[in-house]
Amino acid sequence: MLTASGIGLGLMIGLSAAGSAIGLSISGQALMGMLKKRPEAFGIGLVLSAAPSTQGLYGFVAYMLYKSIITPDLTAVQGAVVLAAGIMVGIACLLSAIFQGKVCASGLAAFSSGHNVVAQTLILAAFPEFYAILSLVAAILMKGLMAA
Amino acid sequence: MIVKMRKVSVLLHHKAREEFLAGLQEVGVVHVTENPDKDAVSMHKRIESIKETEKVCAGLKKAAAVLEEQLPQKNDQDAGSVMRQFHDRTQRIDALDQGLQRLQKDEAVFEPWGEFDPTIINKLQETGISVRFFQAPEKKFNQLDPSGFLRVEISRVKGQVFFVIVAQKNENTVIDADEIRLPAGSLRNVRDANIKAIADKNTLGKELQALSAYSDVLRAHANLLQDQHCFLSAGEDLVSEAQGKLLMLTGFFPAGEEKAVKEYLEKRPVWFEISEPAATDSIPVLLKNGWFARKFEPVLSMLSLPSYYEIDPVPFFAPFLVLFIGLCLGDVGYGSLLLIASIAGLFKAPKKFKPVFETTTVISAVVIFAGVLLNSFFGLTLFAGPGIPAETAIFSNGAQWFCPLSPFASEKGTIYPMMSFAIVLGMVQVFLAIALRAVNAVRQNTWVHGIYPLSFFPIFGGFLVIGAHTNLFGLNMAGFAVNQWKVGALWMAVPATAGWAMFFGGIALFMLFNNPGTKIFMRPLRGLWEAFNFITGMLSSILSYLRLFALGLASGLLGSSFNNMAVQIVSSGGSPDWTSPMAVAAVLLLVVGHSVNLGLSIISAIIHPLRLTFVEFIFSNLGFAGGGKAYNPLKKLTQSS
Repeated sequence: MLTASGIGLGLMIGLSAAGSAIGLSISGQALMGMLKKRPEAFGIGLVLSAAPSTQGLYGFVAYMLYKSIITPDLTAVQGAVVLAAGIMVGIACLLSAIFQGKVCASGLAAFSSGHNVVAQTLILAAFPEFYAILSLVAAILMKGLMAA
Repeated sequence: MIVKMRKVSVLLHHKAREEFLAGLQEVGVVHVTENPDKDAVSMHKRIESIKETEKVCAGLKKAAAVLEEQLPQKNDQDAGSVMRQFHDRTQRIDALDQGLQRLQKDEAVFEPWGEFDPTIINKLQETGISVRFFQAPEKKFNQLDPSGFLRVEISRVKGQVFFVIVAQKNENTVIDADEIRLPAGSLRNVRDANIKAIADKNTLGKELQALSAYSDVLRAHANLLQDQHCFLSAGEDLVSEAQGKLLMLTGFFPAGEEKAVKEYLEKRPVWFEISEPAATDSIPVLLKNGWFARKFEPVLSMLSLPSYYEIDPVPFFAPFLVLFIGLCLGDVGYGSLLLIASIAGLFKAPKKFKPVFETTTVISAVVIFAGVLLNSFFGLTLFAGPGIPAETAIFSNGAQWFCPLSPFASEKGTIYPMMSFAIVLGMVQVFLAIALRAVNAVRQNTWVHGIYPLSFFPIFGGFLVIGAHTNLFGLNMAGFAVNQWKVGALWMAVPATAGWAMFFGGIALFMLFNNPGTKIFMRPLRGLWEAFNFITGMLSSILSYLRLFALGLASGLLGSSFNNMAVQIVSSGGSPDWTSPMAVAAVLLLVVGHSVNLGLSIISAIIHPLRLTFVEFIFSNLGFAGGGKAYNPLKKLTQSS
């Protein structure tokens, strides 16, 4: 069970961090394209392109919550819960960050073409992120149920 | 705060236009409402002309940047002549740059062949002997059959052999190697041309530097063009009435300037009326904030100015923004370094950068304060205390008094009070935004419109009380605490019945007062959709503040890792020996490691608090509309002569 929980923690942070890295690369490339046309808007462009960095942080928060459970007297149920939470948070954060990066990239492309869509992009980019948050909430609830 | 505006409407005779506008420009406070039918082409031409002058100003400033001392300013040439000279020199420099690139390529082609007189080759051609230039890899060169022609090796460079083939002109010699077509001239010609081009470029650069003595002339010219543009635009913004005999001007000015505007208008042969702006007017927005909040106005301008009837959110998010940055960096050591750099900047940097360093000084102080709360000094533990061993800390006691957000060990494992505190901060900022949203709704509509956002308070408050009493989802909300501050006990102090009453009372207000413009029996149906948005939005907004905890912890752990690595480098036999020669490497690692960590942390500590401000505060909960037009009065930049 220690192995399973270790894998769970690994997936939790590994997949979410990988998702953020991919999402940031996607939006970062779009930001570079935008800077060719509107270099003066680097500040707001940076905020937009940094949105997918959040999922890695959620994975990290979940990891901090769960790491204290990993002890030598870990039960089978606890190990299974850590593994399940790891898979859940990891996959949700991975996909959420990648697709949030795509939303931000589209917003940056539109912004560089002269459309003032900063607010709309920030709002739309928050939608895929919500499901990463939901997975974090579910992980917190699972930990609460495990303690109960 | 948004400055209160007054509206002025003026009717004047068309012949009085020039004189009237010139006087209004002297008063310098009236923002003239734009006429949508005005001639855009001439306006764009004027703007282009201003931009061109600004560009030349910037070019001369750049050229003069290499000078040790700024040149004394002259005014014996006009701006047009200076601009012509600038364009002439910059075009010639561009042409020389292109020529230099070509010469550098030619030099690279000539270099393997060394110096020779190309006329000799031409003379040989005339006598029927061809000289051809080739390049081949060494292996291929050695395999060439030299019979039937004369092969002369010239040089070998990086595994390539450069050689010439001398043969009769009418012989069709096939060589298995790359034939090189040499450019006209010789290596010496190319090098001489290169030296001349560089010298010419330097001369032109010096001429540009000399032109910087006319920077003030150009600046004054740019200001004059700007004044002319404002004046002409204002003239074009006047609306013709009575077949062009009369002109109508509509404008806005800060309410505090009414006396000056009235005095001017009373002296002129015009009809005017000063009134309160109507809700349908396109009223310009002028922000006026105190010393602290004013420094964060550019943050809002990254998005948009608020509309005239909205609350200026800057004074409300500025303290949070600074606190969030402080909590993300949260280290006494890093804060002290930033504070020293900021204070040095305050005294040493040019005057125009002083506001920036004032802001960073405040932020640095907050980083130090947050560092004490989080108990961190360059990744080390600052104070020991309950659950924090004395051997790991710099000071053997004090965490219980100074560091309420410091992680500590308990029988349940390590407790991170910052995690709960981030959630509490999130609740405070989100509900501040909702309260402002209610005020905005009342200001822009009626008091009924303010009920819907206010209903969020009893719903959420009731949810917390019910959650604490019923141990909802096993979350132990009753035990929710930030270190010794038992926040959950507050919720438990409210009777469960009161919690249910608040919750359902809030739901009733929510369902009945959403979309007050629609019929009352339709509102509960629309309220279902609003409820979905409320639940998902509230959840994601508040949990999003967990990033403050995660970023602060990540920064602290990375700093701590560098400390551990440095200790391992100087450790021999289990204890660190800072007198060993390896101490130099350890100190180097600490300096480089903490510099990298500080740099990365600063980037995160700016971006994530900005995101919380823009998404969670401004858009998701404040319901910011924005789109305000900046107050841009008709005024003169140049002095009247």
